[in-house]
Amino acid sequence: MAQIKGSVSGANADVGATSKGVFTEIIASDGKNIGATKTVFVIYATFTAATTEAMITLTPSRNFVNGATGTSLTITANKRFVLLGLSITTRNAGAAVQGVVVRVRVNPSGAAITTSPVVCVLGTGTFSATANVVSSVATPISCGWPCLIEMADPAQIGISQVGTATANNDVCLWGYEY
Amino acid sequence: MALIQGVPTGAHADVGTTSKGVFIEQGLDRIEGFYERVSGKPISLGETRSVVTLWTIQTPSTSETRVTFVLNRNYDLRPVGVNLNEYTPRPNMRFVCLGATAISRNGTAAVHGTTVRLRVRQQQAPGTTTITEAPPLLVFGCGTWGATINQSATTTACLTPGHPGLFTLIHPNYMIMTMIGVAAADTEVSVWGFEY
Repeated sequence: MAQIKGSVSGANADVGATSKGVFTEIIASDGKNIGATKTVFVIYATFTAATTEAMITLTPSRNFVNGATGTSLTITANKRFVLLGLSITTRNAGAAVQGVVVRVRVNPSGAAITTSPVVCVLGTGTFSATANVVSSVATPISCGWPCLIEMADPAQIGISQVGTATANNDVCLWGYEY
Repeated sequence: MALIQGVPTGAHADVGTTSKGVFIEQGLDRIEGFYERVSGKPISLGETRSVVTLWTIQTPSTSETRVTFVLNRNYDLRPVGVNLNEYTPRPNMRFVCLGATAISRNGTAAVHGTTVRLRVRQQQAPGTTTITEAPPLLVFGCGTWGATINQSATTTACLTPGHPGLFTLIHPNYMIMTMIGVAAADTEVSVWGFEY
Protein backbone atom coordinates (compact mmCIF):
# COMPACT_ATOMS: atom_id res chain seq x y z
CA MET A 1 0.00 0.00 0.00
CA ALA A 2 2.92 2.36 0.50
CA GLN A 3 3.09 2.67 -3.23
CA ILE A 4 0.30 5.18 -3.03
CA LYS A 5 2.56 7.89 -1.70
CA GLY A 6 4.86 7.66 -4.67
CA SER A 7 4.33 9.27 -8.00
CA VAL A 8 1.44 8.18 -10.13
CA SER A 9 3.33 6.82 -13.01
CA GLY A 10 3.96 3.29 -14.02
CA ALA A 11 3.28 0.39 -11.75
CA ASN A 12 2.99 2.44 -8.57
CA ALA A 13 -0.24 3.94 -9.74
CA ASP A 14 -1.67 0.64 -10.78
CA VAL A 15 -3.33 -0.16 -7.49
CA GLY A 16 -6.50 -1.47 -8.97
CA ALA A 17 -9.74 -1.72 -7.14
CA THR A 18 -8.20 -1.15 -3.72
CA SER A 19 -7.00 2.36 -4.45
CA LYS A 20 -9.93 4.22 -3.01
CA GLY A 21 -9.70 2.31 0.21
CA VAL A 22 -6.08 3.23 0.65
CA PHE A 23 -6.96 6.88 0.10
CA THR A 24 -9.44 6.68 2.93
CA GLU A 25 -6.86 5.26 5.25
CA ILE A 26 -4.47 8.10 4.62
CA ILE A 27 -7.10 10.74 5.20
CA ALA A 28 -8.27 9.11 8.39
CA SER A 29 -5.06 10.10 10.09
CA ASP A 30 -5.87 13.73 9.36
CA GLY A 31 -9.12 13.70 11.24
CA LYS A 32 -11.13 12.55 8.23
CA ASN A 33 -11.63 16.05 6.85
CA ILE A 34 -10.99 15.43 3.20
CA GLY A 35 -13.62 13.18 1.82
CA ALA A 36 -15.73 13.32 4.98
CA THR A 37 -19.40 14.17 4.96
CA LYS A 38 -19.74 17.73 6.20
CA THR A 39 -22.61 19.50 7.89
CA VAL A 40 -23.00 23.23 7.46
CA PHE A 41 -23.07 24.66 10.97
CA VAL A 42 -24.14 28.27 11.53
CA ILE A 43 -24.49 29.92 14.93
CA TYR A 44 -26.42 33.16 15.04
CA ALA A 45 -28.38 35.55 17.22
CA THR A 46 -30.10 38.89 17.29
CA PHE A 47 -29.54 40.38 20.70
CA THR A 48 -29.59 43.42 22.93
CA ALA A 49 -26.16 44.38 24.15
CA ALA A 50 -25.30 45.19 27.74
CA THR A 51 -22.65 47.29 29.39
CA THR A 52 -21.50 44.27 31.37
CA GLU A 53 -20.17 41.29 29.46
CA ALA A 54 -22.61 38.41 29.19
CA MET A 55 -23.11 35.33 27.04
CA ILE A 56 -25.45 35.63 24.07
CA THR A 57 -28.32 33.20 23.64
CA LEU A 58 -27.45 31.57 20.33
CA THR A 59 -29.34 29.50 17.81
CA PRO A 60 -27.44 26.64 16.18
CA SER A 61 -28.38 25.75 12.63
CA ARG A 62 -27.17 22.51 11.09
CA ASN A 63 -27.74 22.17 7.37
CA PHE A 64 -30.09 25.13 7.78
CA VAL A 65 -32.32 23.53 10.38
CA ASN A 66 -32.55 25.39 13.66
CA GLY A 67 -31.70 23.61 16.89
CA ALA A 68 -32.25 24.36 20.54
CA THR A 69 -30.95 27.75 21.63
CA GLY A 70 -28.38 28.18 24.36
CA THR A 71 -25.52 30.30 25.62
CA SER A 72 -23.08 27.40 25.25
CA LEU A 73 -23.43 25.05 22.31
CA THR A 74 -22.10 21.53 22.04
CA ILE A 75 -20.41 19.90 19.10
CA THR A 76 -22.06 16.82 17.67
CA ALA A 77 -20.69 13.70 19.34
CA ASN A 78 -17.45 12.45 17.81
CA LYS A 79 -17.35 15.40 15.39
CA ARG A 80 -15.17 18.44 14.86
CA PHE A 81 -16.32 21.98 14.17
CA VAL A 82 -14.29 24.09 11.77
CA LEU A 83 -14.79 27.83 12.37
CA LEU A 84 -14.74 29.56 9.00
CA GLY A 85 -15.84 33.12 9.70
CA LEU A 86 -17.52 35.58 12.02
CA SER A 87 -19.59 38.71 11.39
CA ILE A 88 -21.44 41.22 13.53
CA THR A 89 -23.83 44.03 12.74
CA THR A 90 -25.26 46.78 14.86
CA ARG A 91 -28.25 48.89 13.81
CA ASN A 92 -29.29 51.99 15.71
CA ALA A 93 -32.29 51.20 17.86
CA GLY A 94 -32.97 54.92 18.20
CA ALA A 95 -31.55 58.25 17.15
CA ALA A 96 -28.21 57.65 18.83
CA VAL A 97 -24.99 55.92 17.90
CA GLN A 98 -24.43 52.47 19.36
CA GLY A 99 -21.75 49.82 19.40
CA VAL A 100 -21.01 46.28 20.43
CA VAL A 101 -18.09 43.90 20.94
CA VAL A 102 -18.38 40.12 20.68
CA ARG A 103 -15.92 37.45 21.79
CA VAL A 104 -15.97 33.86 20.56
CA ARG A 105 -15.13 31.65 23.52
CA VAL A 106 -14.40 27.94 23.71
CA ASN A 107 -14.31 25.63 26.70
CA PRO A 108 -12.61 22.32 25.89
CA SER A 109 -14.40 20.42 28.61
CA GLY A 110 -17.56 22.22 29.72
CA ALA A 111 -19.86 25.15 29.18
CA ALA A 112 -18.41 28.24 27.52
CA ILE A 113 -18.67 31.21 29.87
CA THR A 114 -17.37 34.77 29.96
CA THR A 115 -13.96 33.66 31.21
CA SER A 116 -13.41 30.87 28.68
CA PRO A 117 -10.49 31.22 26.22
CA VAL A 118 -11.06 33.67 23.39
CA VAL A 119 -10.61 32.65 19.78
CA CYS A 120 -11.65 35.82 18.00
CA VAL A 121 -13.05 39.26 18.85
CA LEU A 122 -14.95 41.75 16.73
CA GLY A 123 -16.47 45.12 17.48
CA THR A 124 -18.45 47.63 15.52
CA GLY A 125 -20.28 50.92 16.02
CA THR A 126 -22.49 53.20 14.01
CA PHE A 127 -21.28 56.52 12.68
CA SER A 128 -24.46 58.54 12.73
CA ALA A 129 -27.11 59.24 15.36
CA THR A 130 -29.96 58.28 13.10
CA ALA A 131 -32.33 55.43 13.73
CA ASN A 132 -31.58 52.26 11.74
CA VAL A 133 -28.13 53.34 10.64
CA VAL A 134 -26.01 50.20 10.37
CA SER A 135 -22.39 49.28 10.87
CA SER A 136 -20.88 45.85 10.34
CA VAL A 137 -17.60 43.96 10.32
CA ALA A 138 -16.59 40.42 9.40
CA THR A 139 -13.48 38.29 9.41
CA PRO A 140 -12.42 34.91 8.09
CA ILE A 141 -11.17 32.59 10.81
CA SER A 142 -10.03 29.53 8.91
CA CYS A 143 -8.46 29.59 5.50
CA GLY A 144 -7.93 26.83 2.96
CA TRP A 145 -6.96 23.40 4.21
CA PRO A 146 -4.93 22.71 6.33
CA CYS A 147 -5.23 26.20 7.82
CA LEU A 148 -8.22 25.37 9.97
CA ILE A 149 -9.26 26.58 13.39
CA GLU A 150 -11.33 23.74 14.72
CA MET A 151 -12.64 22.30 17.95
CA ALA A 152 -13.69 18.78 18.79
CA ASP A 153 -16.42 17.20 20.85
CA PRO A 154 -16.74 17.54 23.89
CA ALA A 155 -15.69 21.20 23.62
CA GLN A 156 -18.42 23.81 23.79
CA ILE A 157 -18.60 27.19 22.11
CA GLY A 158 -20.29 30.44 23.06
CA ILE A 159 -20.19 34.12 22.17
CA SER A 160 -20.13 36.89 24.74
CA GLN A 161 -21.08 40.52 24.18
CA VAL A 162 -20.55 43.93 25.71
CA GLY A 163 -21.65 47.26 24.30
CA THR A 164 -24.13 50.07 24.50
CA ALA A 165 -27.30 48.83 26.13
CA THR A 166 -29.20 48.80 22.88
CA ALA A 167 -31.04 46.33 20.70
CA ASN A 168 -30.65 45.35 17.05
CA ASN A 169 -27.30 43.60 17.20
CA ASP A 170 -26.62 40.54 15.09
CA VAL A 171 -23.83 37.99 15.24
CA CYS A 172 -23.20 35.11 12.86
CA LEU A 173 -20.51 32.45 13.10
CA TRP A 174 -20.32 29.96 10.26
CA GLY A 175 -18.40 26.77 9.57
CA TYR A 176 -18.95 23.06 9.28
CA GLU A 177 -18.88 19.88 11.28
CA TYR A 178 -17.23 16.72 10.08
CA MET B 1 -1.58 4.03 -16.09
CA ALA B 2 0.79 6.89 -16.70
CA LEU B 3 -1.97 8.42 -18.76
CA ILE B 4 -3.67 9.37 -15.52
CA GLN B 5 -1.39 12.36 -15.17
CA GLY B 6 -3.24 14.11 -17.93
CA VAL B 7 -6.42 16.11 -17.64
CA PRO B 8 -9.30 13.79 -16.72
CA THR B 9 -11.14 14.24 -19.97
CA GLY B 10 -11.31 12.18 -23.10
CA ALA B 11 -9.34 9.05 -23.59
CA HIS B 12 -6.76 9.77 -20.92
CA ALA B 13 -9.38 9.65 -18.23
CA ASP B 14 -11.02 6.60 -19.62
CA VAL B 15 -9.06 4.09 -17.64
CA GLY B 16 -11.89 2.01 -16.37
CA THR B 17 -13.04 1.33 -12.87
CA THR B 18 -9.75 2.12 -11.15
CA SER B 19 -9.31 5.63 -12.52
CA LYS B 20 -10.98 7.59 -9.77
CA GLY B 21 -8.83 6.26 -7.04
CA VAL B 22 -5.60 6.78 -8.86
CA PHE B 23 -6.49 10.31 -9.81
CA ILE B 24 -7.21 11.32 -6.22
CA GLU B 25 -4.00 9.81 -5.01
CA GLN B 26 -2.07 11.90 -7.45
CA GLY B 27 -3.55 15.01 -5.86
CA LEU B 28 -2.52 13.94 -2.41
CA ASP B 29 1.01 13.34 -3.49
CA ARG B 30 1.21 16.84 -4.88
CA ILE B 31 -0.13 18.45 -1.71
CA GLU B 32 2.53 16.85 0.41
CA GLY B 33 5.18 17.91 -2.03
CA PHE B 34 4.08 21.53 -1.89
CA TYR B 35 4.37 21.65 1.84
CA GLU B 36 7.83 20.34 1.88
CA ARG B 37 9.04 22.95 -0.56
CA VAL B 38 7.17 25.97 0.74
CA SER B 39 7.48 25.70 4.49
CA GLY B 40 10.66 23.71 4.72
CA LYS B 41 8.97 21.39 7.17
CA PRO B 42 6.62 18.80 5.73
CA ILE B 43 3.13 18.82 7.10
CA SER B 44 1.84 15.39 6.38
CA LEU B 45 -1.77 14.41 6.33
CA GLY B 46 -1.38 12.88 9.74
CA GLU B 47 0.30 15.90 11.30
CA THR B 48 -0.89 16.96 14.73
CA ARG B 49 -1.78 20.63 14.88
CA SER B 50 -2.40 22.74 17.98
CA VAL B 51 -4.75 25.71 17.79
CA VAL B 52 -2.97 28.76 19.21
CA THR B 53 -4.78 31.94 20.27
CA LEU B 54 -3.43 35.20 21.64
CA TRP B 55 -5.74 37.72 23.25
CA THR B 56 -5.38 40.94 25.18
CA ILE B 57 -7.28 44.00 26.43
CA GLN B 58 -5.14 47.03 27.11
CA THR B 59 -5.13 50.75 27.67
CA PRO B 60 -2.77 52.13 25.05
CA SER B 61 -0.17 54.80 25.59
CA THR B 62 0.62 57.81 23.42
CA SER B 63 4.08 56.35 22.85
CA GLU B 64 4.60 52.88 21.43
CA THR B 65 4.62 50.41 24.28
CA ARG B 66 4.82 46.65 24.56
CA VAL B 67 1.76 44.98 25.92
CA THR B 68 1.19 41.59 27.47
CA PHE B 69 -1.25 38.97 26.28
CA VAL B 70 -2.88 35.67 27.13
CA LEU B 71 -1.73 32.61 25.17
CA ASN B 72 -3.84 29.48 24.86
CA ARG B 73 -3.20 26.20 23.11
CA ASN B 74 -6.20 24.11 22.14
CA TYR B 75 -8.46 26.37 24.24
CA ASP B 76 -6.94 25.03 27.43
CA LEU B 77 -8.54 26.65 30.46
CA ARG B 78 -5.09 26.94 31.98
CA PRO B 79 -3.42 29.36 29.57
CA VAL B 80 0.19 28.87 28.64
CA GLY B 81 0.67 32.35 30.05
CA VAL B 82 -1.54 35.22 31.15
CA ASN B 83 0.98 38.06 31.16
CA LEU B 84 3.27 37.06 28.35
CA ASN B 85 5.19 39.78 26.58
CA GLU B 86 6.52 37.56 23.81
CA TYR B 87 5.64 34.38 21.99
CA THR B 88 7.68 31.79 20.17
CA PRO B 89 6.55 28.45 18.81
CA ARG B 90 7.59 25.45 20.82
CA PRO B 91 11.03 24.00 19.97
CA ASN B 92 11.15 22.34 16.57
CA MET B 93 7.71 23.70 15.75
CA ARG B 94 6.22 26.38 13.56
CA PHE B 95 3.34 28.77 14.01
CA VAL B 96 1.12 29.47 11.03
CA CYS B 97 -0.60 32.78 11.73
CA LEU B 98 -4.03 32.76 10.13
CA GLY B 99 -5.70 35.96 11.25
CA ALA B 100 -5.97 38.82 13.71
CA THR B 101 -8.41 41.49 14.79
CA ALA B 102 -7.93 44.77 16.65
CA ILE B 103 -10.76 46.58 18.40
CA SER B 104 -11.18 50.03 19.83
CA ARG B 105 -13.96 50.33 22.37
CA ASN B 106 -14.74 53.60 24.08
CA GLY B 107 -14.18 53.17 27.78
CA THR B 108 -15.62 56.65 28.29
CA ALA B 109 -17.76 59.02 26.28
CA ALA B 110 -14.87 59.98 24.01
CA VAL B 111 -13.58 58.67 20.71
CA HIS B 112 -10.77 56.15 20.85
CA GLY B 113 -8.08 54.91 18.50
CA THR B 114 -5.04 52.67 18.50
CA THR B 115 -2.30 51.43 16.22
CA VAL B 116 -1.30 47.85 16.93
CA ARG B 117 1.94 46.30 15.73
CA LEU B 118 2.84 42.65 15.83
CA ARG B 119 6.60 42.53 15.65
CA VAL B 120 8.93 39.59 15.20
CA ARG B 121 12.60 39.25 15.89
CA GLN B 122 14.27 36.45 14.07
CA GLN B 123 16.25 34.95 16.90
CA GLN B 124 17.49 35.86 20.34
CA ALA B 125 17.41 34.72 23.93
CA PRO B 126 14.02 34.77 25.61
CA GLY B 127 13.08 38.09 27.13
CA THR B 128 15.61 40.16 25.25
CA THR B 129 13.60 41.48 22.33
CA THR B 130 13.20 45.25 22.15
CA ILE B 131 10.72 47.14 20.03
CA THR B 132 13.30 48.57 17.70
CA GLU B 133 14.94 45.22 17.12
CA ALA B 134 11.78 43.53 15.96
CA PRO B 135 10.44 44.49 12.53
CA PRO B 136 6.67 44.58 12.22
CA LEU B 137 4.98 41.67 10.54
CA LEU B 138 1.57 43.28 10.84
CA VAL B 139 0.49 46.86 11.47
CA PHE B 140 -3.14 47.74 11.80
CA GLY B 141 -5.22 50.34 13.56
CA CYS B 142 -8.75 51.03 14.57
CA GLY B 143 -10.69 53.97 15.85
CA THR B 144 -14.20 54.85 16.87
CA TRP B 145 -16.33 57.54 15.28
CA GLY B 146 -18.81 58.30 18.02
CA ALA B 147 -18.08 59.75 21.45
CA THR B 148 -20.37 57.30 23.17
CA ILE B 149 -19.25 54.86 25.81
CA ASN B 150 -18.96 51.31 24.42
CA GLN B 151 -18.91 52.56 20.84
CA SER B 152 -16.59 50.22 18.96
CA ALA B 153 -14.67 49.63 15.75
CA THR B 154 -12.60 46.75 14.38
CA THR B 155 -9.92 46.12 11.82
CA THR B 156 -9.38 42.56 10.64
CA ALA B 157 -6.40 40.93 8.98
CA CYS B 158 -6.09 37.63 7.16
CA LEU B 159 -2.42 36.73 7.24
CA THR B 160 -2.60 33.34 5.57
CA PRO B 161 -4.92 33.20 2.57
CA GLY B 162 -4.63 29.43 2.40
CA HIS B 163 -2.34 26.70 1.21
CA PRO B 164 0.40 27.12 0.13
CA GLY B 165 0.58 30.74 1.28
CA LEU B 166 1.46 30.02 4.87
CA PHE B 167 2.56 32.95 7.03
CA THR B 168 4.89 31.14 9.37
CA LEU B 169 6.97 31.85 12.44
CA ILE B 170 9.70 29.34 13.12
CA HIS B 171 11.11 28.66 16.56
CA PRO B 172 12.96 30.66 17.89
CA ASN B 173 11.33 33.62 16.13
CA TYR B 174 9.90 35.81 18.88
CA MET B 175 6.72 37.83 18.37
CA ILE B 176 5.81 40.81 20.51
CA MET B 177 2.82 43.15 20.46
CA THR B 178 2.91 46.93 20.79
CA MET B 179 0.26 49.65 20.93
CA ILE B 180 0.21 53.39 20.46
CA GLY B 181 -2.90 55.50 20.57
CA VAL B 182 -5.40 57.34 22.71
CA ALA B 183 -4.40 56.83 26.33
CA ALA B 184 -7.73 55.44 27.39
CA ALA B 185 -9.44 52.10 27.65
CA ASP B 186 -9.88 49.79 25.71
CA THR B 187 -7.96 48.21 22.88
CA GLU B 188 -8.49 44.53 22.34
CA VAL B 189 -6.53 42.23 20.04
CA SER B 190 -7.01 38.60 19.06
CA VAL B 191 -4.61 36.52 16.99
CA TRP B 192 -5.16 32.92 15.94
CA GLY B 193 -3.35 30.19 14.07
CA PHE B 194 -1.84 26.78 14.65
CA GLU B 195 1.45 25.18 15.60
CA TYR B 196 2.76 22.09 13.89
